[in-house]
Amino acid sequence: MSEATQYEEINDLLSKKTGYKEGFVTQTSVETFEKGISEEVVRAISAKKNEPEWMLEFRLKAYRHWLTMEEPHWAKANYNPLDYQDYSYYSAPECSACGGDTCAADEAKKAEIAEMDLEVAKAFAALGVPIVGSENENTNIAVDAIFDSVSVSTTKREELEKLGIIFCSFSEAVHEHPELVQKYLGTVVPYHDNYFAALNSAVASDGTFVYIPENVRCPIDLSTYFRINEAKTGQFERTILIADKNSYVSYLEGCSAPVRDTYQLHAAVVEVIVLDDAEVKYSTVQNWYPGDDDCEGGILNFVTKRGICEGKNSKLSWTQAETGSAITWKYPSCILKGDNSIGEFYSVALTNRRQQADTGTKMIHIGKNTRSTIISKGLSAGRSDNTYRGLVKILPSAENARNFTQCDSMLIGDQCGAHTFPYIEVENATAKMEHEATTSRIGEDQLFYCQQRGISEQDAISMIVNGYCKEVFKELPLEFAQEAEELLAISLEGSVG
Amino acid sequence: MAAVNSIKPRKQSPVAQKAIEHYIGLSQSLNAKTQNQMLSAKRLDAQKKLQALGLPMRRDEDWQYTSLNHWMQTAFEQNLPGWGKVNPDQLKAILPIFGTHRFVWIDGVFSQDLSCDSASLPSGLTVESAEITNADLVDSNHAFELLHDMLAENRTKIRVQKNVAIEKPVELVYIQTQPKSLATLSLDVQVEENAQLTLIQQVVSFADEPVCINGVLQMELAAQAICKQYVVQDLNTNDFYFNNQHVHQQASSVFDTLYVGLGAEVSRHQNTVNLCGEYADASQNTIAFGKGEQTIDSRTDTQHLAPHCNSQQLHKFVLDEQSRGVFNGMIYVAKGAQKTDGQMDNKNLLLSNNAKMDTKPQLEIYADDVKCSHGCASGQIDENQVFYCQARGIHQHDAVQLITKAFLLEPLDNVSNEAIRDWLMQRVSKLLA
Repeated sequence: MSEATQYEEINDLLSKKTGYKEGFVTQTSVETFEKGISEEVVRAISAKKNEPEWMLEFRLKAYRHWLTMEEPHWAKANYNPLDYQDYSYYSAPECSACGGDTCAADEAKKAEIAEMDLEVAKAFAALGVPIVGSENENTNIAVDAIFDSVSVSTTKREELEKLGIIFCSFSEAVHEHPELVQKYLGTVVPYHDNYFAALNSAVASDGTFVYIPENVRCPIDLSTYFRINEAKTGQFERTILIADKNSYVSYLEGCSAPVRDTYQLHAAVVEVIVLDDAEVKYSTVQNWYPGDDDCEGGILNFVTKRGICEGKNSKLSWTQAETGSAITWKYPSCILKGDNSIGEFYSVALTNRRQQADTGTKMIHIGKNTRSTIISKGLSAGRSDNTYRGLVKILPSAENARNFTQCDSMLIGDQCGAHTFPYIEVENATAKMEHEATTSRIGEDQLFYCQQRGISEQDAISMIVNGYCKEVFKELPLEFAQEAEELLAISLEGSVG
Repeated sequence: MAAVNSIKPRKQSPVAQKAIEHYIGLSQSLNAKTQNQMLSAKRLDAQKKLQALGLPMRRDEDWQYTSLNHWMQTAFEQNLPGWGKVNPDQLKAILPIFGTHRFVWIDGVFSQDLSCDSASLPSGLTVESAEITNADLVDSNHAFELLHDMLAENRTKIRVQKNVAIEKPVELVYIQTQPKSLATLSLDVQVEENAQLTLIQQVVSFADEPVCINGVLQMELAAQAICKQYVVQDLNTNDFYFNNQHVHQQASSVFDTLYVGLGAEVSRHQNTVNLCGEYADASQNTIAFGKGEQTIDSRTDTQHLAPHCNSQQLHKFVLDEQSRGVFNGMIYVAKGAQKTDGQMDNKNLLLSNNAKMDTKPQLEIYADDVKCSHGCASGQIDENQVFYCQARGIHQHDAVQLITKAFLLEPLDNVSNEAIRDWLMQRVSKLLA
């Protein structure tokens, strides 16, 4: 096949609409704040959630600081400056809000689940998220479902409570475990950290709070599912995960949004604290709506995720499969403070059409004998741009630190871009770091080999791509790995020649 | 480039402001001397631009690892009256023993006595120095290129005519003798079709106090032209060195450059190579050895603009004491530059716990049928290697030296001219002893 006809075919296939099956809209009565942000709005959100004084203080401090900051544009992504007054900063399905003031009380919450808006329940059912009682008896997973600005249901809580595990929405945690929230909120991602973290701290909607007590190995996977439903709303979840000494947890995150025609903003903050000998596995399958063919109306995914390996021998592992969003801007990071702590980052980022992804990680080595591994696989197709941007910093105190980084990019078609911007700062001679990056495409000989053996072109591509991503997928929990593989196949459909 | 008026002025520290004013003053006195109105106008533009843009700060992405604080504190002067004495022994120690077409500048002024007779050059090769013209200026937003535009007086032009291969290397030696002297070097190299040139550049200082070198090189390589370039920067450890090289390569041309960065408190050597014609080949290598409080910064920007081009890079840093190494490399592959092969390697050896290395090897790729990779590694000497040597009767100290030397000198393997290779090896080895 000559180059020219080959690309024609790709473009033909590309122009076909690929299905975003999570793109439906849920019709439910909602309470949505007027568009715009101001100190009143921040106060109103806080009042709506019936928050204590210290939380309001935190929000206001962040909001005032945010006003002094400028929207950053250093990432490799082109978009028009956002109008922050054109978003609504709070939206909740009405019957689950329960008039607001009793919302946080336990009884109310339970009643809420029973009474949860049928439409919302249907939506989650359609998404395959098990949130209703009978269904989740057999599942080996506890779910916190977040619909726009509020957490609508958290399953398997009683079971977890027996082990002392706290798994609830962030709003509840503010009321029920204020000492823990106060102790850890903003310790890993301070409110002044960056523009979007400040905005999040000011208008944080809901999120998940997880606390695993000492010596507890969480028997089931914990999971949060985020759903943006309302148009022109921003979602600003705040997730805090604390793994106390010698504990273990595997936490999963999924997300989706309906098809809209304007950009929607998602600016979450995730803080993970890992104490001595504890281990946290944090997996994300990100499938936000990427927008139409030109990525108009997709989600702007500007997320700050950071974890600290506070104690010695602790381990934090980030795994992500990024397939959605119009623009992704996300750098899950590890601060390796405890001696012998381990940080890992496994990522598959796929961009198609006009999607732009600027993602990577930061590994800050502070403690002795700290180790980190970065495996990043970028796939770009269509007219998309896919960027790996990462920092490995080895401070003078990090004796014998070790880092291995591998970033591979694969280009599919001749209209896309793949970029690598690694920063490596070594300030300790005993540290060893290696970095490798390669760029390639699916070889014609590889395809030919498969086709010769009776495998169709599409299957062959899927096979090669999955093989390319295997190193990362094997880190994902089983069901998630399957989902990620399927997502990859859907997102790639017709993009290759 | 952005027009001067459209630039939003940046706030500068008082020290930076003072430095800018000082260099604007120098530029104004040059303008008072020249008859060329167009040149004056261009210099004025550069002055305004520098005033508006200010000097680079640590906050700037491209300068976050390279501090200019000390450089700003010294007001360097151009055209100081009289020359310092050049000790023949000192000179002998740095010059290669093999035959070259040698041209020497002292404190930025051409020295007829120490240079060869330009009438004796082989046919097809010309080396001329003339007053700079407005067309020679770079017109960029880079602070040191702006300083070049403001302060360059003369430009050296090297031409190699079509189908001529120059056997003996052309050697350019820049010696600073007076304290606080600034030399603004402006060099223009044109190698015509199917011609060949070997270029050796050296910068050294015999002054006790800091000196500053600021150079800009523009090189055009026509189709099938070959240029090999060796830049040896061996200033004293309190000096400053900035060099920006812009190379344009046409089809099937070859550019092979090696930067040997040994001296200076702060040095920054930047190559911008544009591969404009098919099958062009560029190789860029660095040997850098830092000690004391030195910062050695080596940068490459390789623009693959045509299909079937190759680029290779190997940058090696050995850092001792409190020195800091900086490497920043970019391989850019434009849309349509298919079949590109780009390879960039950066390897660093840290000999002291206080040494630092900051690396940023970047890829920006817009074509799918390419082979691009970069590799980067930092670490200390492998204990096993030292043990291996010791087990064979080599003293530990010697073993470390042996391994360090072998590590640092790897880029010399690519130097095809044996005499040049031996000379470079000797220059670098002297420092390691």
